[in-house]
Amino acid sequence: MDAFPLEGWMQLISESGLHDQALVLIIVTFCAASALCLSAAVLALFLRVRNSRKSTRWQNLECTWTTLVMGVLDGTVRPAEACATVQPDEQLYFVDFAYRHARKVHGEDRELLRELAAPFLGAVAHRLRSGDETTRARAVRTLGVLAPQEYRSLIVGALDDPSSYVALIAAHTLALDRDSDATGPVLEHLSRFKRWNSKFLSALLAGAGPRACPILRDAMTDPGRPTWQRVVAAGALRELQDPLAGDAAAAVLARAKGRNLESAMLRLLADLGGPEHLSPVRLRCSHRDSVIRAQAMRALGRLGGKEDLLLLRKGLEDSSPWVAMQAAAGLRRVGGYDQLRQLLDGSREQALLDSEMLAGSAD
Amino acid sequence: MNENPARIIFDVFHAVVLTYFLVQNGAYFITTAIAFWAVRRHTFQRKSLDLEHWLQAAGTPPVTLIAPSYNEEATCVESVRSFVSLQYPEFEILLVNDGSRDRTLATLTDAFTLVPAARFRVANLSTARVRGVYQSLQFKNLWVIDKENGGKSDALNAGLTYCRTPLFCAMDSDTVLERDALIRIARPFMEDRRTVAAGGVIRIANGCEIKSGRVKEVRLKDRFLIRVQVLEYLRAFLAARIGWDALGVNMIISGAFGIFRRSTVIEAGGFDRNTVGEDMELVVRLHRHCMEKSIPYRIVFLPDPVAWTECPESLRTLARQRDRWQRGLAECLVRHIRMLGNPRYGRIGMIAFPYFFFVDLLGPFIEVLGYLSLGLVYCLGVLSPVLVLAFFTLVFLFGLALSTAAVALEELEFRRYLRTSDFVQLFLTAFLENFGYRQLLSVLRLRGMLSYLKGVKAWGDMERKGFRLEEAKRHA
Repeated sequence: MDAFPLEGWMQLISESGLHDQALVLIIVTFCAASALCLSAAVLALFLRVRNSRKSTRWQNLECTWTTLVMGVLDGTVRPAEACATVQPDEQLYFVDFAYRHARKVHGEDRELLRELAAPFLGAVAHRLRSGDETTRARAVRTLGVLAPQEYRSLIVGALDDPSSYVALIAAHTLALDRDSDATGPVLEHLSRFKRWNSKFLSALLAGAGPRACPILRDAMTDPGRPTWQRVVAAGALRELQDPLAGDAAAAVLARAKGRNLESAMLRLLADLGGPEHLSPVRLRCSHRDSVIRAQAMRALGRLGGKEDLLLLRKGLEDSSPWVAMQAAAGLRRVGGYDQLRQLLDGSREQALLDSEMLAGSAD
Repeated sequence: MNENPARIIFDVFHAVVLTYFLVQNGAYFITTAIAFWAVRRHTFQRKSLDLEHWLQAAGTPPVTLIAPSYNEEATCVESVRSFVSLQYPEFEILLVNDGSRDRTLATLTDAFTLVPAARFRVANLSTARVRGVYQSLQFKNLWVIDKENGGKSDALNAGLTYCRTPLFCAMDSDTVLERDALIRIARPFMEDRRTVAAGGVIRIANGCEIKSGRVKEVRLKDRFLIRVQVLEYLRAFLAARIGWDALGVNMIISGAFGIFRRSTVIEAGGFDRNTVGEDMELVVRLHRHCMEKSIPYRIVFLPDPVAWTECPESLRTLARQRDRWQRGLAECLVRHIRMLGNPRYGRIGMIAFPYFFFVDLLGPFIEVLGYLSLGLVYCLGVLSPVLVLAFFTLVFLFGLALSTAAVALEELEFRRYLRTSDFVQLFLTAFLENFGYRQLLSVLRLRGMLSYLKGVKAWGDMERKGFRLEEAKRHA
């Protein structure tokens, strides 16, 4: 028991020749390290126990509420009775439960979940005043799914939230609800989302549905708007397959300068344009920027006819593989496949061979 | 004043060891503390964003998975099955058969009805000769590129030359991606158009139950060598990388699972074929490329996209792996040495690069020599046994604290190890790893440095036991 007594340690220390300061430093470091070690262990253990309990409680609640909701659905339980079973400290859990299920279902099921959650949403709305942006964002998201009409003003108001992250959640929430009236306010706040991926923003705006097309066309054709916003609007119109977007894009393209805007208009024309829009497209098939050339070649392939075979064939020899790829796909579409084969017989150049092969796999 | 010169040298060296110890552990503690905050914040943000919901709806950028494969006849079919079952709106799979000497291509052809197909190269990167391109008749988004052997980087470059999507995911062909991993890892590319690369967490699959390319049950294998690597990965990914990322100085994205913007990688020259650490080298080069060309960019690490991989089960394989990692680190840091302490490269040049250089690269020399020297001076009676004991106790306590903190981080949000016995085992391993394993790692890293100095270039076989192999046998 007494193999290494305290006196032994003390003697070792006194013989060590260490200064008092060095000893103090060692002892302090040792204590700090021990404290860190212990804290980490206690924290890990605490988290384990807490999370296990939370998980068990959540599972139990979820089980109870699922039964209740099923009861309400088959008419054996009245909604008011179901709401009454939710304890005050469980209300936010219940809202979360309703939210998670509501976003997976539609129609009557969703309406029922909204009705059940409605009495507890005041507490969620109160969270919009939280100092933490993630809490506010979550509140916006929850209200958007469970009570989009009742709390619409709050959700639209969140577009002005100091955090652009919360504002984006608000914009997306409005889009999810296919609220076309919100397209205007969202476009007004678009500058706050400049960092976000433009394809994503286009999808978000397109979420509002076809009724948003006029306002999106105005945004696209407005020369006073920043280019990136016009590109985003063009992307949204493309997703919405707006039949009037072709004319608007051709008008913009006639005056457009710059890779992003010109490419966006060419993309839009390729999908929604007609043969009447071909002249600005043909012009850009020999543009010095390969990105614009590739988009022009794509549009030409989709809108053009036999009279464009020469341009498309020229595109096959382009130094950019992307242009050649679009040209090959275009040739295939406008019926130049046989000509392509004839060309191949006369030339063994690898690029052409590759392009011919591509024609079978592109698109 | 008449001190023995040998004693002075020892004292100076011990001061270096002590400084190294303080810097290393200080950095670990700072990154771990930040990681707690970052993980919590990330989780709250993810919940409020409900990103999975939107990404599945629209607006996700198409992704190409590029998976190099070499002699994986036994496991390739299961691997591909797991890839095709991923949840992502629009993706292609380019499996690059890197000159396998077994029946990898024939097996894939039979299993997925591959037929020769035309596919246009869209980038000009030099690679070993491509023998043929095949497309599956069953899964139109599955392509196999058959090429002559050229190594992993060469295979990735070959995949890149055929990649048509704005993003590509570089991975090992035996990595198991969680079904929503692609959706999660694509998130930074949605949030910020400056993002050029993103990395996710790698976890160890040994011991887990895997079915149909999915991890069904997470378990710790009852072998110390595996448990200790699980703990090591938790420390590396959940504590260190999250912390470094929060500081904006992320310098590594694992080669087993990382997603990149194709155009930027091609502009930077693709993967370097002359290194065994192609993953880190690419990330460092991307930093350098973007900063030198004044391109606004962002390289991020995320704690929630998860890929599972197999770790070495024998000491011999572990030694080879660590040898390769250390050589890769050395090759990368030496190649980009001009970034060291160079303010032109911002925080990377001033913080991350010096840390990796002095702590990770030179660390093995200091650690191993430090152990030997402390032992020597103790035996010679030059140094007080109290000091030696105090030092080793502190090394032990700090090591234990860091590992336990990594377990706490795991418990904070991720909770993959649900069995109590696994949790206890992790604790026990955190204690035991200080007696032998950490010292062994120092020696292995030192050996890697010596291999680098000798100019060794070999990749070294991994000798995977193959969870896919076991699964494939079950299917058969």
